[in-house]
Amino acid sequence: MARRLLLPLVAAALLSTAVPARALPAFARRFNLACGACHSAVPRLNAFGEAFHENGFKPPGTMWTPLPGTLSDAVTQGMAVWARGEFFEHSDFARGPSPRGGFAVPEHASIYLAGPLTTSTSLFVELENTVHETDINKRGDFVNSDTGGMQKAFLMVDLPMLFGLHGGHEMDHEMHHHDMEMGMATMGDGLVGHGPMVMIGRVDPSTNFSYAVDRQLFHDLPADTSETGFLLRLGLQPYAFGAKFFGIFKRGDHTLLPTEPTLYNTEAAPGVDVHGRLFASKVLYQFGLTTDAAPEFLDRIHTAAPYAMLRYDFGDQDGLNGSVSVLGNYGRNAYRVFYLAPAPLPLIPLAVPEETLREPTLREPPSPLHRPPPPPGRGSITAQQDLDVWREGIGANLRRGPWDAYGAYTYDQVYDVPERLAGRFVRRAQGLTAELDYRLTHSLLPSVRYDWMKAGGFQSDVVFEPGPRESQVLHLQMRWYLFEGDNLAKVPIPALLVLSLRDSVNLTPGGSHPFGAWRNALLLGFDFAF
Amino acid sequence: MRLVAPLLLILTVAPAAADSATAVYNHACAWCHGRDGRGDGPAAFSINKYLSPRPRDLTLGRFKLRSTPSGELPTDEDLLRTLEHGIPGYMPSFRGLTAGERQLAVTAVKRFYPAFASAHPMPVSLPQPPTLDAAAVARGRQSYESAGCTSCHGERGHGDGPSAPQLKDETGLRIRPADLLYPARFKNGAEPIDVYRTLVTGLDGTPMPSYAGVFEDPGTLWDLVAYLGSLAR
Repeated sequence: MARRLLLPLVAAALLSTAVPARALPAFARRFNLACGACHSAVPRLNAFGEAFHENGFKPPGTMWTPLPGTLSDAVTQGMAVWARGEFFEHSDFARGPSPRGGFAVPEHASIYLAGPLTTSTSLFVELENTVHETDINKRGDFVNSDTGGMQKAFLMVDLPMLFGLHGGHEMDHEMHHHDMEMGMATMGDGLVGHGPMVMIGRVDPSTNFSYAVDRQLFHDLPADTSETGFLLRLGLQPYAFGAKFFGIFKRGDHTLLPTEPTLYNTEAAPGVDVHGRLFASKVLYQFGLTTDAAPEFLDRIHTAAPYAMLRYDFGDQDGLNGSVSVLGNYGRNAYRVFYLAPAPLPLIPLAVPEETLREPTLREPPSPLHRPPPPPGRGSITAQQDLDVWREGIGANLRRGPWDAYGAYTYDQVYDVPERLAGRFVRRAQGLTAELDYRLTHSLLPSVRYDWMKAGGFQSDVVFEPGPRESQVLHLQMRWYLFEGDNLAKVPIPALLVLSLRDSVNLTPGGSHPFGAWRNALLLGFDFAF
Repeated sequence: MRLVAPLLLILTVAPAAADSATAVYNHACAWCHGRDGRGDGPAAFSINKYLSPRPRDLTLGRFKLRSTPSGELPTDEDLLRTLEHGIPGYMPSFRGLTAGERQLAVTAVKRFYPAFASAHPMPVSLPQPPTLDAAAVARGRQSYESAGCTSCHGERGHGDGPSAPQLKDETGLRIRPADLLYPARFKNGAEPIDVYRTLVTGLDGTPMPSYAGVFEDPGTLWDLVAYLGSLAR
């Protein structure tokens, strides 16, 4: 029993230290499969891939998988690298630095270590370097910077297996060959997972949602800043998953842009996640507690956000299948706003009647551009307020043969907005993302995506000038899967190389505001995994 | 622990499936082969998109990976071998099922084709391999050319013969001849006895025919096995 509890304890240790999982050639090598066995189009999972994930990175129904025999096998079957980014970007701006363009380095590079460790426990670790993270520096300027660290590091523990409820759990591999007991696959009516599974460590809870945040066929396009510290353009990321509020901060003093993905309050963070199938049905339940520590080591936890999700899977023949998910999460003190502190009251002669006192007027923004506020404790903006946020959302996907349609809608509401900000801070926001992919040929995948956001937060202040708080974007893309691990004879070690050509059109351009300043973005990107 | 275990049991206990064989099949196989065995499960298309192989339609009674003569049904051992070894690139190994579950999966697969109930498939004779020396390789190379292997697999075995671009399987999907330089990708196994079995039985439903009885000298098939082994990288 001590050994059984050891791994979860190790996972708890990992809590001190997440962007989500993408295609992992290490799994392909370990299980001798092409990418298409688990992915409808990398990194999108098909139903088998979802079940593979649900089963702790093992084929559905199976209780164990052979461990690598040699150190070399352990490396090739457990480790993988991933890089994605844009070769080239050309963006038009209504005003300002137009056109914006040029060649860029890969925006994401990751190293993975993953796979089943025992019959009950699997490991997933992702170290990622991300460039162009937008934040506010000590001078109060918007800057793009590189970040990196342990994005994900969690153990997935199959509790019934751990506690011996599936049978045959303590048998070694040799004994499996002779054992006639029933195991996991004998339970239930199939096309279901099992569980409860517990993920503990740095976890991305969005993986089980019908539209996983991290499995985007359109690369995220980061926010863009000028050399003088102004925000030129908000990032192009699925608006349904965006934070959706202007002028809010996370983890105390890190800016949180409206387009930054935060489906479960965070992309991935230390937490505990439980998911499984209630009564082996087609309903997948998920609940847990996530936090907000950044991938950088030693970043501390500022808030905890409980969440819950239900997913209903449907269809299992004629190639038709899909799911519908609903989620809710509550971030306690998840956001922070900084604003002008009340000006000190003037000295008032006693003779002056009290009713003649007037509320001091707020200072006007010092700049018509997108000047950020000074960092906390400096300058004239010294008041702050932590906000709670409630998010509810629905997501769905429908797949049949070469078609894959999916989308999500989320509705956010923040609480504890200071009365002083009444009329200046919108408490509610909405976001919608919908995408349709069609596998045109074996290797060509055209896609179209639509994003809509009605943002909340500050309507105008020193952070963002008055401007559009609603935006729509239409994206068109063609992805060319040069190899997807499928032509294994020619590429004997499973790997992935994808080129993508994309055009994103801003349907609601708006002056120089970063929500609508850009008009058109043409991008040539790539994905490489090995 | 006494409190936790019953709670977990409540969360994991399942309504009884129609029977255990169906439960195992639905858990492990139906993702690709479909609940009705027609090869149209929810993950069927993405495995190889517009190319062959797709998941097998188990209701047709046509199986590629057999030890029985071409056109006959496979034995239980054949089905178990495929289940345990998987098919490189396309089907994982299901050794992680218990032995009892693997047997149940075979039972479920056979139900989709009623003729299994009365069939008694017999494997072809697989003799012990002789010494596969350089002379056998040289003879095998001649046989490789004379038997027409080059038309699909190409002169050097790359799978790029003149017929390769036109090849289709029985469903009309384009199929690639095996690249013989990578035996680890052979669907029916890479050991000499596996390659011999493939030559004798063929791969039903694909352009790969059975070579049983084609050569007057049965040893010629072993020469071919020796030559194919010499191509491996």
